[in-house]
Amino acid sequence: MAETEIISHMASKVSDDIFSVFGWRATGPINQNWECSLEAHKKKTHPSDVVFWYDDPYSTTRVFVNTDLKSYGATSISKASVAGAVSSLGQTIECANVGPGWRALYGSDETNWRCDGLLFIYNHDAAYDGEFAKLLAEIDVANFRLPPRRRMVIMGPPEVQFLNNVANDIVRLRGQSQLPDLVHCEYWYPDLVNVKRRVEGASAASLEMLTGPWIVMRPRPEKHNKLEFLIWYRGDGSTIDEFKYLLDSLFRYQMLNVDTDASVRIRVVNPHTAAVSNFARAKEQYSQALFGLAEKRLANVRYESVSQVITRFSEQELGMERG
Amino acid sequence: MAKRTHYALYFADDKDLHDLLSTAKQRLTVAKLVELARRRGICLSSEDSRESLVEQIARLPHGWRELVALLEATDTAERTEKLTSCKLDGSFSLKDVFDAAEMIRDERADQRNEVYDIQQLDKVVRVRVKYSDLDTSKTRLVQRSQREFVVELEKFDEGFRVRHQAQERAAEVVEAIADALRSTNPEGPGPRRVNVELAGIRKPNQRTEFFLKLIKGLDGFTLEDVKAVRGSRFAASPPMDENDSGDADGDENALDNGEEIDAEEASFVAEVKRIALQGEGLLQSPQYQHLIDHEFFVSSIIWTSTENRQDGVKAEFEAAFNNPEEGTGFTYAVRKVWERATNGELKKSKTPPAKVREDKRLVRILEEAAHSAMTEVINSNAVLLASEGADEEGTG
Repeated sequence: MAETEIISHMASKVSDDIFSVFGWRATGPINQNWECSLEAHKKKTHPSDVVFWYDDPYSTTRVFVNTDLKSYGATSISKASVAGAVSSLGQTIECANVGPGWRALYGSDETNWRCDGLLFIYNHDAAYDGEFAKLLAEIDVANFRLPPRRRMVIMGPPEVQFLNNVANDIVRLRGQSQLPDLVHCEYWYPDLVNVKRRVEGASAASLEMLTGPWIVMRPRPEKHNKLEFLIWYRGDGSTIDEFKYLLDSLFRYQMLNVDTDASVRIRVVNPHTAAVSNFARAKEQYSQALFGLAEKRLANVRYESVSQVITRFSEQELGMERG
Repeated sequence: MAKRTHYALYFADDKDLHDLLSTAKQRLTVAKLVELARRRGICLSSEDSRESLVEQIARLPHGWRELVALLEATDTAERTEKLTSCKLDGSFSLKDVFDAAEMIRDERADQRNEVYDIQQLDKVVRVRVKYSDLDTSKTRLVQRSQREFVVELEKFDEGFRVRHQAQERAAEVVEAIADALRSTNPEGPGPRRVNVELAGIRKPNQRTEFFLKLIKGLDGFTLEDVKAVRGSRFAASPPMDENDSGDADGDENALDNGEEIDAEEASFVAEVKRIALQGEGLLQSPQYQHLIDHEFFVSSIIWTSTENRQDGVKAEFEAAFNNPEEGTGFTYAVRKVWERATNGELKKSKTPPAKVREDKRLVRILEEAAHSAMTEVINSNAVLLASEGADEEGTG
């Protein structure tokens, strides 16, 4: 299969299987080159494999995510390949935010917007067992150069796998009628001290949430409206402290408000063998520290582990699907 | 071992993070902030202002791991851990000490909100104590931090060698353990506590002699260089400023030393109670000699020594009396270590601090040299006093 075809197929798979579950919407043409408008780049065009958008929960800005999809075998994931992709995406983002080429295809006249970059590195043979964070740390910082106010996000194989597992879990829970449809689910953001959330009701998971320690969802089913939160937890639960800290965040953000009978399901995606007992001990210790006052509310916080899946969007499989 | 950690029961909100990031200007440069975000996969522009970066990062959700990484980045570089030690002489077993430590745990744990981990290892009883510390002068996020210290009680022929971080709470625990050992056997001889101190030594040259003996007395090592010296003077040392009448004794002493001192120099010496020298080859420097000549004594020293073995290391040591005049509060540290490569050359990079902390060999050598130096100085002082007494009797 030619590279352009692979990318087209990956774009639709990634879009359908992962980001649509997180409330992102694809827009404009996929796998498209557009004209560069900055001489310094010394390039005729920049690529957009797929562009998504969501509304930023803390502002009135629409965030477009210009996504560069990479499908690498384990042996191709190297400092050089990632550095090249990062550097190129940096230029793409710079140009997308200033020139006419990108905005003619994807931009909006109706709302304030910005264009962030996303480098999505999928390991198609599922054989990558290197430390991607370490690899990233060893790349020369000059490759990450960005103009002021621009940002891009890098999702390597471990991050992609985490998000894929969470997305699969959400779909499965929906299939079991444990979750309502996307329109009745809200990716939940707390009011922060320095900034309040703007979007109310159904919302998408932001880049900050998808790269953060947890993904929080509040289902709002049509019929009954018991307050419930689901939290997909990225850590492995190998320490008691991490759960104590997570529990305190629930109180800090009033998710376990004393006036409401809320429940919280903590779904650990890649649990350590001691995660369950650490969670139980964290609850005990947290309750003890509050002299048992919050015991009843803490009883509504449950630990659950997520069954993992490994999805392969390999060239061969994509080809077979197509055929 | 005494590293600051955050208290996991207190979630840090965006304002806490903002305050922390804003105040840690020296540690968290623009480049460091950009790197912190990049570790989470978020690439920000290093052309953004520091304030803008702080705002962007403070708004990111931080779990426990992210917070710990951030606190580590704001913390100062791993400081050299200063230790202090004493001997508990007496015929106690490891089990006696272990039991005493458990007694102290039962007494203090609830009262002082301390968490104990007591282990009996080969020849050592190790007491690790965690406690929560509140410092209201700091940003809220780091006001309450979890700290810990370790007291090691190592069995020697004549008793136990005790070492711990030079901090008050650790000293209290050691004192309590010594008391507990006494109380378990009230009839028998209690542990005799021997600190490294020179309280009875009032002659500046003898105070200095202690440090000279220490730095030359490390078993198996040769002194290479002295890199820093702090000199102190006794409060009763002669005030030499001609405008300062001073006390009569002081003036007499000043006259006694029989040196001619010009007015400018006299003023300098009179006003300065402590002075620090840094550089190389300090003991041979005229500045050092100048201080010694004017009754300053060494109260703190940093030096390097090389091990005599072919595969031996080079190390930088530090020793000091925290209360220079009293000659108490002895603290010490192995600051840096350079190991040898397979070709016998010293490696250019230092051994990682964590490894230096774990290896107690150099610390033991330093402790041994300190005790020996103290004994020698005290003994020679006793001889000196005896001979002075004899002289007085003879003349009187």
